Amino acid sequence: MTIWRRKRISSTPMMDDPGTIEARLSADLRQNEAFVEQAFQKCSDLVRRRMNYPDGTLRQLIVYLETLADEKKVSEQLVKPLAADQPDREAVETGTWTGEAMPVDQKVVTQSWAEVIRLVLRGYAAVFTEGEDHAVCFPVHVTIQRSIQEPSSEQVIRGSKEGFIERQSVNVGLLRNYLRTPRLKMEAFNVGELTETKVLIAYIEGLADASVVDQVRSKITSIHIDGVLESGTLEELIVDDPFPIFPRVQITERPDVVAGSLLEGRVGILVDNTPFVMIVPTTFWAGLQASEDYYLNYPVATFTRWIRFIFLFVAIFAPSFFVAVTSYHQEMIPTSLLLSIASAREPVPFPVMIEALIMEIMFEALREAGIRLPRAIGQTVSIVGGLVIGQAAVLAGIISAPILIVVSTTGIAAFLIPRFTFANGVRLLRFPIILLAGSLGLYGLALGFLGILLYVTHIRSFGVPYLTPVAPFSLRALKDVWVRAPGKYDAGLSAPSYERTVQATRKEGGE
Amino acid sequence: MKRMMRVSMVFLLLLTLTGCWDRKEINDIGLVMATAIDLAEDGQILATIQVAVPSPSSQTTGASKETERFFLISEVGRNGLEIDQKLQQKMSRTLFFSHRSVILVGEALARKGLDGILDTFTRNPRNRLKAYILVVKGKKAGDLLQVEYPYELVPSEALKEMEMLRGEGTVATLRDFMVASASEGMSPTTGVLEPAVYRRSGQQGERPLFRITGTAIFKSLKLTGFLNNAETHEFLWFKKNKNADHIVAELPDGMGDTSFTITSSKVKIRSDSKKDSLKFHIHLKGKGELVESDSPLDVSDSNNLRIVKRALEQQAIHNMEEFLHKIQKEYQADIVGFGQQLQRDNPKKWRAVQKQWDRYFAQADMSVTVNLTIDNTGETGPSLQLKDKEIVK
Repeated sequence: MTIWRRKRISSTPMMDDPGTIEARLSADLRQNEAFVEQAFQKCSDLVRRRMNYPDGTLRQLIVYLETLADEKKVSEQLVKPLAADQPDREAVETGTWTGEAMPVDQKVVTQSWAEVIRLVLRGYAAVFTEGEDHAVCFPVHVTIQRSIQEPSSEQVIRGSKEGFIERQSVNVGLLRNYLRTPRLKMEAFNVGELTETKVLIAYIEGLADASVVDQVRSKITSIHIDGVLESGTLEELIVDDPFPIFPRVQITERPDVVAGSLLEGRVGILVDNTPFVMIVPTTFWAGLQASEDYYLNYPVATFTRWIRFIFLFVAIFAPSFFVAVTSYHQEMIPTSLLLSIASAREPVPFPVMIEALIMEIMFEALREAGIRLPRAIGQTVSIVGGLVIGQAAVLAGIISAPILIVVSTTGIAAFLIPRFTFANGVRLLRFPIILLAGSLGLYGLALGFLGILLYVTHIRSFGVPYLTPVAPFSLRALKDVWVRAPGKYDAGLSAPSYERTVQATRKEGGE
Repeated sequence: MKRMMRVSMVFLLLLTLTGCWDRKEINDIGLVMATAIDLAEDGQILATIQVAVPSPSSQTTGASKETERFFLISEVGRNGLEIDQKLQQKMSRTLFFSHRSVILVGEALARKGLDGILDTFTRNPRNRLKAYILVVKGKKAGDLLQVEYPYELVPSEALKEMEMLRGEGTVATLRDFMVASASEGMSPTTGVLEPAVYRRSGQQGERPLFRITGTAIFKSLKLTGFLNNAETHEFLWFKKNKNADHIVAELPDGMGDTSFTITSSKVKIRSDSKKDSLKFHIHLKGKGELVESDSPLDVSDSNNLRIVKRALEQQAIHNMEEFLHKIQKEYQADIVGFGQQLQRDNPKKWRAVQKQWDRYFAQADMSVTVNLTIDNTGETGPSLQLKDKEIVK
């Protein structure tokens, strides 16, 4: 993958020859046909349909890719009118035929070969006419798409069950359904020299911070890459951190999340062929906010948010705290608890730290295995994992029961984090901190915490400090951090907070 | 790059300047649960420690036989460190004193004085100042550690729990003991442990047990005497531990007994010092409930309730006076802290009497006033079993 990404186009295909690509169509139909033949050499799905005059001489040529085109559309909307009625015979003969009377909209008339090839590759049928130096391209593409389903990565109980799909046009439509305003802008870019992936920058004019939009725009236009298959490829290219632990862009499959973020003045980046939409800038706190927070009563939402905060700490620090306390600070454990831990550990041959690392790695392996496997086999993994590795290891005296409890609690805790890219970062941090705690005790734990704190305060997402609005502090914006205050999308309540902090930090010379 | 260097330098310093490396697995420490110190025959100190044995739970081993929950080791030595080293030689695991919750002192050693041994319990940071200190009456302290208490994992746990039951005796942690000992105008006290017995169901013979009873009074780290249970109950007023304690009083005219449980109490001591006399006023204030009334009185009547109240107050004054008499005349030990009160009220006078406080204290006049409030008489007025005509309205 890496090699493919880094390498610029090495072997120059014929079409990249500038002399050819900037070539114009010729008035000679045969010459045009030869050109098409050459351009789509060895493309077995290319279809050429010749429309002849009654005398058998070639009149028109229809070219399309059968894999992208709807055969029915071609025959109904192109071949039939062209062959049967020949309504524009006169125009054809006078050399000004542009298919005006054809029952198809959105046709493109072009004289450039590059354009023709591009359109054919997007599912258009190009019609070349004898004696004319332009082609008329009709959209006949068939849209390959799955139905709109509930997003599997972000399920909710209350809230929209619609999720984005792989077709960008559908996604934009979903978004427009939420935001019926012309202020919702969609700037289009093509990224990837071979994939020609359509990338849209979506924002609400007047709400979004112009500097963030500019940053995104300039970063996207400066990308030179062969292909973009998923938003993740793009994410790596627009984020400047060489070693990103926490995500600088939020990804989501949910149109309501994107709409909500746009209302907050953030910027969405929609990439074709993926249901995942990126939202920038994002903060640490956004990693702990679920879309459902805003649909539930605010006391309930605040409570669940606090549960998440607590378990965020559990997810990062629980195993390391256990390791530190049991191998350095036994005096901290209540006597009877210490006695039961000691009894459980009596047959175990490993130090606590090794035990914790083994179980953590084991847990991560089980998790990974569970993701990749088909659902039917996934059950087996959980049985093998839960029973064999859990219970049997304890019974055999290889692992002590307390560490099993700690590790599984930690595992559950990581699942409480609503944004899975954020949870991945948390999961990753766990291991160095276990090592620190195992070698330096609570002192190491404190060091690790300090390190994380330093890192998180240091990083920025598109100019916005990651801990906004806690550091830099903004009391007004705190309404949506530790609590979920009511009235989220009231005019001017939440939206300008990003902008203000960004501007404030810029004034201080932070950028 | 320069910044990265600087940051990593800071972390490097943080990692290397960490003092001592003291990682110890739980399986490498011997948990000392209790220490008993006695007087050895040659005048040295005999220390016995109780070490917990963390036995794998029956589920993991499949074994159901009862395993040892603790064992005892003893050593004789001149001071704490010497004994400690000798004890460690018998142990395969490092002795770990942070979880010691009980320190038992044999009566003989307590009478001889604790000054030679007490420091070892406090200087080492691995010690718990919250450990309870108890004097074992009439027996060697080490013998009581051997008792297998039926409830708890190790008997010292049971001791700790018993100590924590409020209102049943005096409680003194090491810290309390040190504070009282170090302060002027106050004598330290500790709880007292006595051997007792219990019987097991289906088994012949008695097994040893212990019970908490009374109070031990120390003067300059020497045990001078004990308070019995009744006197200890009065002492609880001053220890602010009187809650849930009872006062039982006899009603006048042979009307029977009445019992009162205190739910909140307050003690005020006022000193009244003239040139050559010293007087203390003790005012006891208590709120509580009537829990038992073995008399025909209908306590729902306020006049009758007043009789009950007066009887209870008389009893409380009487008890308190007896207690004061004992500590003043018999032990001459100011365990309550009257001296501290005098020091606060009249520092000049205190300086005059400080040197011979025990003598002055013994001669001080005491006056006791009591005010009890009966908040609740229970569900009924008179006892339910009484016939109508038996009830005194």
